[in-house]
Amino acid sequence: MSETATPTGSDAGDGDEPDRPTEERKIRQALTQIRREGWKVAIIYAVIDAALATLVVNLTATFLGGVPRLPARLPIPQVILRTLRETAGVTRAEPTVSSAAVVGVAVGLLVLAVEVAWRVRRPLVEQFEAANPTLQESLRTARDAVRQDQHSRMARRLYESVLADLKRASSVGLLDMRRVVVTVLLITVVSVATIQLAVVDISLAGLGDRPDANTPGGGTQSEYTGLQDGSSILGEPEDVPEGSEELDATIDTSGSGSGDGSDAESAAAYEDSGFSGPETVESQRAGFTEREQLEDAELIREYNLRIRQETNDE
Amino acid sequence: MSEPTTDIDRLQQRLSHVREEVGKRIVGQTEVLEGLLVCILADGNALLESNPGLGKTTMVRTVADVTDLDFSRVQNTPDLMPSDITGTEIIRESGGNREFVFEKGPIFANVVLADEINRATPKTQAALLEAMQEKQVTAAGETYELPRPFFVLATQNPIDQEGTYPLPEAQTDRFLLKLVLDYPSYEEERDIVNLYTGSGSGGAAPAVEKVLTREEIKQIQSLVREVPIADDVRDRAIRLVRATREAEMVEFGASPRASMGLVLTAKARAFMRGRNHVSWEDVEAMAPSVLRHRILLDFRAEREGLSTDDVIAELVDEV
Repeated sequence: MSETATPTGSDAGDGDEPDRPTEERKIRQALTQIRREGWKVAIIYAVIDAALATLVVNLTATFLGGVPRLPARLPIPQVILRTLRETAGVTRAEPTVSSAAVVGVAVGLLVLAVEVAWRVRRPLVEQFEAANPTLQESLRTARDAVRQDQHSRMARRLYESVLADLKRASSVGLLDMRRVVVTVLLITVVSVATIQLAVVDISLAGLGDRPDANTPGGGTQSEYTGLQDGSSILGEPEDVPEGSEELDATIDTSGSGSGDGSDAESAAAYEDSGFSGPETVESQRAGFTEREQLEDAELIREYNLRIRQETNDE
Repeated sequence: MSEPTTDIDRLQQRLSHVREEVGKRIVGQTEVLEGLLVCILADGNALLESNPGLGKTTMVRTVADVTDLDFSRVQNTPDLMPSDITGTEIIRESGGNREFVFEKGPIFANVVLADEINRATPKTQAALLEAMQEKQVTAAGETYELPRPFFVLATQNPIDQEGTYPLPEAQTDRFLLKLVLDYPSYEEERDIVNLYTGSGSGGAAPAVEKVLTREEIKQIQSLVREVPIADDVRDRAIRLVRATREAEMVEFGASPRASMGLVLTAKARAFMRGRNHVSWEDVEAMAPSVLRHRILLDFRAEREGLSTDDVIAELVDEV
């Protein structure tokens, strides 16, 4: 917010009302400026309150696990997607949005509209006068005198005096800074809480999670596709023991590309005894617990032999 | 005092100088003095009520002295004739010729003090009030303009009403203000005694300086009417006057002339205080003087011991 600067000299808008005395024209412009400041204040209050309402509704709905009677995610209309793509070049892989966010935005817009309407219902100049009591009577009188097109010596003198007072006045008084700061702090707190809730994925048990689709294993499959806990995907991390045992391995290279029948020997050896190493080596995922067992090497060998046998027979 | 930047500033400074000069002779009575000056600036007339010996003649004479205005005094008695006030035609001989000439009465002055107006007969009162209203006198078919500015200060005594002719309501309504002089405080009375009985004074009133000319008074009277007033302040003043007609304990309320008088005197007071607009404070301050002689209380107010000023104060709080 700024001081209510009154137009002076060259910026007095000489072109719009050339017949009016300068002071009267300046008073009219000052009144317009005061109304503009009033709108700014109304919008500032409405925007921060709307932001707070949006975040609170979103947080509450997310915490409760969703909005009753609405699916967890709502499709984004094609019009919006197209507009986003064409104007901002934004494309979404998944054209849905959380219903909690949609309801939050709707409530925020409602708060914005209602609060702006409520705050401008009282004439904005009167609000300014109330915030600047020393100016109240003189400004109100000047306002009425301008409306009645008074150009008398005393009226002009009043205009000069009011313009001088307005230069010292400020529209900051219209804004309750303590209230604004408190609201902004609340917005910050709710924002942090929203992010935290998304990270730890807390929801009030039984209220939000609806088993929309059963997994084959009998569990529930969540439709949530946002940020998830990394451990739930990769498993619990564990320390991998550093290999300290030395093993001797013999690699037979005799059948490699020589064309002297060694391939056949090698294949026969594989068919007879399978993979022969000095020790049984089990595969292990680096850094994570093995989640599924590899099939037995003997069983694999058995299948391979059968397949090969059938191929040869054909 | 800073150098006046405009004519209006200069005139407003002159007015405050007038008060200082009058203060050399009149101790206290600031509200009455302000009322007198307001009455002059609003081009009106005042009815002054006080007990004898409170300095009303001195005050009016002093105001005339510092404002360069002619002053005359009429002591009203039951045998005073209208022509004694307005003037009359007399036969004058010059060079063997006789001719009728109009001999102007004491009303041909800028400031006229009509002492104890309620002692004059209704006929004389009517002549005075007509001149006051019309600002002219008609005698033997000729009309004579009264000098401008013209200001009548009529006094009446609240005690000793025997053999008096109280002014009818229709005539009191013609006075813009009714000012009431009260006894001074102890300190003020001590200062008055010191001022007029000290060795330096010789019993004479202290000298005062003329600080405002007739032309300047006319200019101020014109400027006072130009003082802007906010619509809501004006409307509230009108509501106040109208409330006197509807108030429970008021038998007879104030006329629209009171509404005009209230707004005009509020403008004069604002100007005198150096403001460029009328404040509600001005209306509040002038309301008792404008309304107290224009309303009649009924028996309920009398039974409860309420004065007109009490009722007006209640109405001011209500509107």
